[in-house]
Amino acid sequence: MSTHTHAEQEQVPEAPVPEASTVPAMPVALMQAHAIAAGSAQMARYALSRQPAPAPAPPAAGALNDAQATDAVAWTNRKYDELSIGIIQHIAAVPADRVFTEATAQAVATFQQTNGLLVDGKVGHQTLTAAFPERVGQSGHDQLVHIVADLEDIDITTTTSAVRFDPTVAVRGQSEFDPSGLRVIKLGAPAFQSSRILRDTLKAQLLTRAPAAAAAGPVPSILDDTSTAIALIVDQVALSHPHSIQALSVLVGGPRITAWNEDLVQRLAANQQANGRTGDGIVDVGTLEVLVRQLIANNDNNGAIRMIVDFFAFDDMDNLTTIYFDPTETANAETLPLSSGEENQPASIQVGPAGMAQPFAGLVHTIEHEFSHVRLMRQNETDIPTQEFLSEAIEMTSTITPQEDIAGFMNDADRGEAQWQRMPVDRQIRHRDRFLEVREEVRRRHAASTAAEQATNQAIVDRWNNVVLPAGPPGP
Amino acid sequence: MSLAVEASVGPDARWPTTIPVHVRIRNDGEAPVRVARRLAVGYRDADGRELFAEVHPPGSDELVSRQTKLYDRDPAKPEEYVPLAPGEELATDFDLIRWYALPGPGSYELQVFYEGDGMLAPQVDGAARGIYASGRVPFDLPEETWSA
Repeated sequence: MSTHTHAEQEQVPEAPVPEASTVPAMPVALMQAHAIAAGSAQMARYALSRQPAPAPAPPAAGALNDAQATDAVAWTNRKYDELSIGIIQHIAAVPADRVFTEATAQAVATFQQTNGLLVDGKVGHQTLTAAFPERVGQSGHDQLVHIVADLEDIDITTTTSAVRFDPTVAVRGQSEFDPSGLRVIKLGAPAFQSSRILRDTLKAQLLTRAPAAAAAGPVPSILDDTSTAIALIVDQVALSHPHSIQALSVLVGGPRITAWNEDLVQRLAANQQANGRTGDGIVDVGTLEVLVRQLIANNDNNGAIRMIVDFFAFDDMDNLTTIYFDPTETANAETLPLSSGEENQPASIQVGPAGMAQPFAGLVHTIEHEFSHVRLMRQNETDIPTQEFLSEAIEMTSTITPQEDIAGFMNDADRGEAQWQRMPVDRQIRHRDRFLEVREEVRRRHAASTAAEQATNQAIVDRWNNVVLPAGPPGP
Repeated sequence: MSLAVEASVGPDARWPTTIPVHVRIRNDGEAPVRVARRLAVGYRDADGRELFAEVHPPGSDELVSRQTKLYDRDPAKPEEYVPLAPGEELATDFDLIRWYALPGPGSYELQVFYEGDGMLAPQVDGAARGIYASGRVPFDLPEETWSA
């Protein structure tokens, strides 16, 4: 029997999906491609729901008897969220459909048997610890943090902006604080010795207290009551995540708060005016850019990332464990873990200093690109060139994010075409329509650019124009 | 135009925590050659990198190193390609296990590759062309042990 005694967690109900009879027939692969292109959570969920139903779980024929298997299913579904169940399924080497069944319990039992553990089909600390080395070796630290926090009901989000593995930290854990007062927990390799050590490290770091907030300045009086009330309504939609609001409130000289109020609107209006904008107190894209630049300049990179994700409401198809700034990251950003043959991994996004140093539109597109990877991982797209082509395509045709300048756009076009050439024919056939859509955008942006820019980018456009699309019916 | 790639694995390599790799790129030719100074690590079939690695069991061609992340890195800029005089070298360090998963502790052979003109890399006059490989470097990867 597992020995942990923490409070049980309730399952989050599934988002509703349309009734099958109300939706016209559409190939699942095509639907998924549209969902990816649109970044539509609802459509993507629906596409997943239309995949052939998995075969019913076979009778418990393994290490567990029927009663044990049933007990393990009930226990796990009380204990863990869907992301954790996905991680468990990777540990147990079964398809990661995020549904813990009797068959999954038997697979866990087999894993326990193989590792000489108590065999009960329940993933507690001993079973997790047995899985740690392989997960760590696959850069799956964020998965382990998620599942241990989930198992122990440790709150690593309310007052913490990031929990990240830091190979430069020689001890188990260290904490520092963003300018907003949110905690960043840095975990050294020793924290990943075992599930219990990780648990204890997280709990210890959560005891650290943020430095006292600077005294809030006087509330400016820029807007009248009506304008303030209107701005408040708009802003509550534009930025709703408590971390965004906390980062903003500190940035504009207010107290640390996690919900909008009239004072914050007034402070925002003053900040807008100080930065040469109309002081309307409303967070639009232009204001967001100004705020993000200020946050980055103030070294609140996590605040900047959170604000971008919040404002554009990027969809992760419930597959993102965490997103944060990683100063040790050498790329603009990365999505991980990825391991050949292990589809549907719960993923995390790390944005590095080079990513943050880009122009605003480039940074937004980088994050949008990584979210595309997260969705594609959820949808079991294992071909890496296809992942990259579709994610470049998202950047090039996005209607919700600011356009990159022509140089940035053509950089995406260059990369997108190169990835298209490396895609298997079946993927090219599946995504032909997407290719054509993107090619039209390449032609449009090229035609709309200056003569000098057209000359610079002609070779890229020629490559797009010269692509001969494969014929044949889309596969399943 | 010839580059020599030499790789070594640090004695403190432990699975699954760290596999420190030191890489040296030396101009073995008789004329200067330009090399991307940043020596960024990635994967063979990816852009935005100059180095990639492969790990095999001893004496085998089986590839056991696996990609662990999708990364987004710009190609090196032309000005990042610096001339290496004959006999001159560049060096870098990276942690192999932050980029590649291995099956577990054991004995392996590592090969590191330099390619400065890969996918989307800029065309730079005088830059090294093609892929340059190190020899296969045997290394032992013991399991991490933790003091109490």
